[in-house]
Amino acid sequence: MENKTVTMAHGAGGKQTSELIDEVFKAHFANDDLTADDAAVLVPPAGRMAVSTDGFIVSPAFFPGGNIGKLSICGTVNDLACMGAKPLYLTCAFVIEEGYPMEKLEEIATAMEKTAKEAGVHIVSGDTKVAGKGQVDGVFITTTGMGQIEEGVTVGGELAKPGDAIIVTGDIGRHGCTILLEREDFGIDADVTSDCAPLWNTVKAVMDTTHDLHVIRDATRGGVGTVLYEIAGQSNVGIRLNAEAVPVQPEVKGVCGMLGLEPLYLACEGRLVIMASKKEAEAIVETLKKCPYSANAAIIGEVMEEEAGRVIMETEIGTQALLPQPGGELLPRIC
Amino acid sequence: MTWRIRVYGIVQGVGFRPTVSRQATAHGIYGTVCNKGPYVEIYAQGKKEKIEGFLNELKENPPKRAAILKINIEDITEENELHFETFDIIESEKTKGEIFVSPDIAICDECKKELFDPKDRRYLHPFINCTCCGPRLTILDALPYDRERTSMKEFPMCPECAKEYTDEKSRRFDAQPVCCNECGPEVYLIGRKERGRDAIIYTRKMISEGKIVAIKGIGGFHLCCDATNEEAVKRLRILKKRPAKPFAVMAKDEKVVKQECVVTKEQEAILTGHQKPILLLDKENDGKLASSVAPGNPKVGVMLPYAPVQLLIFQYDDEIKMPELLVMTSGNTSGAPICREDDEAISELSNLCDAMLSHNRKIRIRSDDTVMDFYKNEPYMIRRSRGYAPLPFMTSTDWKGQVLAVGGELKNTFCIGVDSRFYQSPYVGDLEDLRTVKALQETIHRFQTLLEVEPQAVVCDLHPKYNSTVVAEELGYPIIRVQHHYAHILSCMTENDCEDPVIGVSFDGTGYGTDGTIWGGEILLADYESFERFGSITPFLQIGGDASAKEGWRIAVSMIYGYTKDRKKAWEIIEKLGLCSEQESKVQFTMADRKINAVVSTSVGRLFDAVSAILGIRLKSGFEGEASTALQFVAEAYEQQNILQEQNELVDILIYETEERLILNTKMLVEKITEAKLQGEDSNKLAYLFHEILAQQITAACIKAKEKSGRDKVALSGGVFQNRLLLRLTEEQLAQEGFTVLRHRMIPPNDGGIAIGQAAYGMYQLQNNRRI
Ligand SMILES: [Fe+3]
Ligand SMILES: [Mg+2]
Ligand SMILES: [Zn+2]
Ligand SMILES: [Zn+2]
Repeated sequence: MENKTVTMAHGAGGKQTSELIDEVFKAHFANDDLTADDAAVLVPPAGRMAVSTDGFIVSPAFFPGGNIGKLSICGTVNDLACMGAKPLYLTCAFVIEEGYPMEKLEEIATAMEKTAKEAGVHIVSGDTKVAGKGQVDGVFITTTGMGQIEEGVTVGGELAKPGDAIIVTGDIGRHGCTILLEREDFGIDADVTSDCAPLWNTVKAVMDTTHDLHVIRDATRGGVGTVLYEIAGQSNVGIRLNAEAVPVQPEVKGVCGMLGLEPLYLACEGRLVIMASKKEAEAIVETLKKCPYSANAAIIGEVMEEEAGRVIMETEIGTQALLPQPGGELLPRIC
Repeated sequence: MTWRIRVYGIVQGVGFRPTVSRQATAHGIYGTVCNKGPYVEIYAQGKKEKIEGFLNELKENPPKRAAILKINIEDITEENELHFETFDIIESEKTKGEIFVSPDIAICDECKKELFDPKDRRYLHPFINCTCCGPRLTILDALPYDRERTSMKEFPMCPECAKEYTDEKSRRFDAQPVCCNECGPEVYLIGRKERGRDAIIYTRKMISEGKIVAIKGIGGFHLCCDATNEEAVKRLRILKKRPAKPFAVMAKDEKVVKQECVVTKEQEAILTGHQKPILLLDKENDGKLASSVAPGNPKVGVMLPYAPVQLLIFQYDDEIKMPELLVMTSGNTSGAPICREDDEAISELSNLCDAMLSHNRKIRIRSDDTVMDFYKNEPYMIRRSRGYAPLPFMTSTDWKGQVLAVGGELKNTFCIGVDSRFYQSPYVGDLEDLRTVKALQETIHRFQTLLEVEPQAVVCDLHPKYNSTVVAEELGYPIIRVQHHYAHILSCMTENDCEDPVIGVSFDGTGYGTDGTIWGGEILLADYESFERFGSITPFLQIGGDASAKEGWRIAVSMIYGYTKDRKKAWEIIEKLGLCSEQESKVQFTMADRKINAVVSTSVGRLFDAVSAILGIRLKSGFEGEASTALQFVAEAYEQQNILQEQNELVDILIYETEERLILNTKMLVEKITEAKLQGEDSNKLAYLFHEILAQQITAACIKAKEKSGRDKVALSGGVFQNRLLLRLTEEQLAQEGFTVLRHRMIPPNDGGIAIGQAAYGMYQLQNNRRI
């Protein structure tokens, strides 16, 4: 496959299409449920089912800590996990730019295989389209996941309660920072890798510790700050953060300082925000610290009845700053 | 004959009725006088000449603190059968209408004398006051001003005080907060057993030993320590987490002030007057003040004691030797409003001080100290608060309606407009902090009650992310939005009661423009109806969000990269100037190229920061305005020592036109100053030239604006005009070109002044029923 690239013929539905599918995708995604026909035939899960879909475009497609393939699995299985659902099945659709190196595609598929395996999800159906040069940027991937909701746990952005502790499962902003450093030539030589990771096992471990959970959210685009504002609005509560307690890797902090960015608004791809009653918080953090992707988990604040819809950040010098509302042009959109 | 006379103005809480009663009796007039809330109503019966004589005397010798704004006279002899045989004071009635609330008044000389007279029954009484002095706004619940509608209602008068209160001949006749050692409020230490005398002695002892004590005064708590004790001041800096921003100082008396500072006759009048603001004065060389009070600053903010308890801290009948200069800084934690009651002090100040001296007279409305500079021997307001708020500004325009303007985001004040009167609130603070936002909401509510206002519209800034905008939206009234720099110009027009269209020079920090970019160096063609952006300084990229507002080197790097348009050339210059590391410069360049966290800006505040960095004066600001004021100070120092001979040869193109608007060529100005600096030219001289040329650019722009619009009035506003050197150079050049210059006096040019401009705009829109 050396030096081979994707051509328009690979997307025309003929022999070359089958070749592409067989050589790249089937080779990596093979499992009992993967269909060779037009649709996968599956046994429905018991109880309630969660379904989520997401499109992935990221530039560059390869970055320290992962690539678009890994991201496309993590993003969707994490969305399922945040509903308390064990990921079961996944479908994926590729849009590939004409001339894309086959080798890279292979690498993406390898990452997908590995991540899906770790997440315990079966890729059951796929689709491939080739777009003319310049019509897309490299590869776009859309994944749809289906999961089985664990009994006894109901979580949602509208369920935060005054008095809840707010937990993040690790240091924040790494994915956003990594992409920014890769994409722009800042000349910064910082050791930052994406936090991109599949989190079902993390969620499972937390649910095994306690069922007294109110909110689980993955802080992707817009970062932890955006997620907190969303929850404050949905649950009609106020949120108080302890600035010192928010874990940020020193390198990320340094880059943010130079660029004048707020880490709370940088994207993560492997971090959850969990809200649960205060009495369970310590146990949850203990559990998280034992999981592979959440060794730096920390309680960063609490939910209050007052100041509904607002996020307030208490700093070490005693100010109670209102965290600026997310969005707006001062913040570049990094995804 | 019988006349009905209505007197409008500050006529409540200043001993107005007793004075009227005395004067009427002296002139042989019968009748009544009554507080109606908005005005004082007098029925005067007697011979015409006698009534006229009485009226003349009232006009010529009104009570000291009164301000008569209008007198209405009606002859009601015909329609009336009233018959009077005495002259009486009638209890207050409530009437709706034009309302004037008196600001708080510093202790008067007579009360001061009694305070230290061992034979007086109010000897050393920390709450001594009379009809001429004492708290007003800060203890007021509602109008009219009577004891039961103030926080003094908890302290029933003893028989002796009651006697004075009802005795026409007494200086305390009808003085609402009157009290004495028997019946008045009491001072005490929070968390300790000492009260009254013991509490004061303890406080004095602590301060004399270099400790820090929180002291509750008129408008809130202060943090206080010996201002001549370097260690004490440094410790306060550490505890208050305030490394460099100057502290205000309270001096024992004017003699002490004169030892420390240069004081002109006009400044002395303000210093010793009844408002007692903090005055920014030039330090003398051989003063006793600890250098960390106002480090690296040729000026220091000084005030004299205005509350009796403050006098007692300096002087008492114990043996303690007290310093004559005390640091008196607002009692708050960083970002929060000044503490008002014990619970706030306990939660916020406990860790910042060694003791807390409080008292049980409640403060209804917070009022920070007013800060005032002097310009051309006249007061120049920096922060308008205690002693001045809420005296209204009146316009001669006949407006009708009620508006509330919530002001800006930093140095917030709000303003309530009722018809042609504009009441500006005391200082609220910076709204980045939740506690200050709450204080804004609460104070708005209090003022609405006090002034009996139900606004028809709420006016706020255009900036979508200002917390003041959020507060405005939550109030639930129709909203009117005003562009920030236009509001500055409107505030200047309103203060000067100017109805003519003007050329507005709004030189400021940053504000949100109508095009979504950041503005701050604008030439606006403005009237109450609308404005046009006629010109601005050269746009540059403001990179790095909030960090760029604090770190001038970032702006400098952006500007240098902006004019060299070449990484290598830019870095050479940046390296020579020592602005930042190569790594940092690369980041800035890339952010500029890719427009990451970078917005187009015309902020003059940032331009000052950048020039300050380029000239090696300040690379960044530890507190707001540090870099730009440091630049001003060296320019002023240069001006004092040199007479500039040569003409401006640095910048040959002052202004130029583009399709959109006129541009003040600040890009060339920065480039030439940078070049000259690299060639070894004196930084102080370049700092001065920068001011000089900027003034030339403003003037050139105004000439163009006049050609286009025919307007010859220029209004100067915005925080940058706190810079008295730029103000003077600009004013002089404009005057030379025949312009009439409007500038601020009693309304701050900074964001603390924009509320009144917003309110005037709202009122205008109400009249013309637009945009609502
Ligand atoms: Fe401003
Ligand atoms: Mg999704
Ligand atoms: Zn007095
Ligand atoms: Zn008494």
